[in-house]
Amino acid sequence: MNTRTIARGAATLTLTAGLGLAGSVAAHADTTPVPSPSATPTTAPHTVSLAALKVRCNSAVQRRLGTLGADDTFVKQSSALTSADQAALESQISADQSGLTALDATIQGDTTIAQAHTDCERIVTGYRVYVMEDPKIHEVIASDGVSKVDTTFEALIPELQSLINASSVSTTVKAQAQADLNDLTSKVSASRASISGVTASVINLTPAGWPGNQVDLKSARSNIHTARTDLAGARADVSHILQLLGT
Amino acid sequence: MTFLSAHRNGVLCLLAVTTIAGCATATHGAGSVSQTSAAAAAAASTTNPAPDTSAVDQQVGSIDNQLSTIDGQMNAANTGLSTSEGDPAQ
Repeated sequence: MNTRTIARGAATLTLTAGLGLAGSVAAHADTTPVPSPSATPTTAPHTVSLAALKVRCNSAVQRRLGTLGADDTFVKQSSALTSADQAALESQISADQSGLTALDATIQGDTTIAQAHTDCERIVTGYRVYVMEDPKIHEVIASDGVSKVDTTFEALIPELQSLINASSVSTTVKAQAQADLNDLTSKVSASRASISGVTASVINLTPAGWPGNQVDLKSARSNIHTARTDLAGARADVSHILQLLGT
Repeated sequence: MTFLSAHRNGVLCLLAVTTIAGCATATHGAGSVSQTSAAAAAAASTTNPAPDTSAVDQQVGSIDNQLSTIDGQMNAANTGLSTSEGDPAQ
């Protein structure tokens, strides 16, 4: 292998890493505003200088701080979160923001490439912002949201029952409406069962448990999806009841 | 001519008075019909009241908003679960 071949290999690796990082950010851009990464790979050096590595690490930190900032806004503005979950998530986000900022300062002060390289890896391994923290936050908001919708439905059920009882529609139509209400009640109960324990299963996940805790995130997603499907059925029942009663 | 003219004016005047009276009666009649309809509607309303669904509508609206929020959050979570962290050190 001559020098030219080695240089070409290094260039390919750098380009691949650069595109991989850009791809990660692009996939995330749907949910969280992050600074646009440069789509043009930098000229591949034979070796990455300490200064270049520091720039790259700083950029990685800033992108993650952008994601966490957006998540913090979601958490603060959410009307679905319970106050306890809101406080827990805000505390976790704040800790990540402080930790990443301090880590960035450490990296910028590193005097060797080896030190900077090791510290830069901690941006990923110590925080798992994209693959764990961010989806976890969204799942907790969704899970608490399902519980809140369950509660709203539970308040609605007796009101719909009153409407059915007081309605002047035919006995047959009234029976259809009652069947829908029974189905609605059943679906809300099923949703409650599916969402039970979901928030607790993910809210305290930490990067130290990665990749094992990915299973918990996926299981939570599945349960939220099941509960959400039941809620869609319950919502359809409401529409049908109101239609039957002619309201 | 004077007599004819006076006679014609008298006829016209009579027509006008009759018309006005007729209009007044018609207007009054229409008012009566309207009042009767309102009374009938009120009576029907008392016997078979339309259900008040405003509270239900409000709750359904709230549910729709919340479901929309859940969907948005799940989309965001899915994005995270299908992405990779990258390696800035490489």
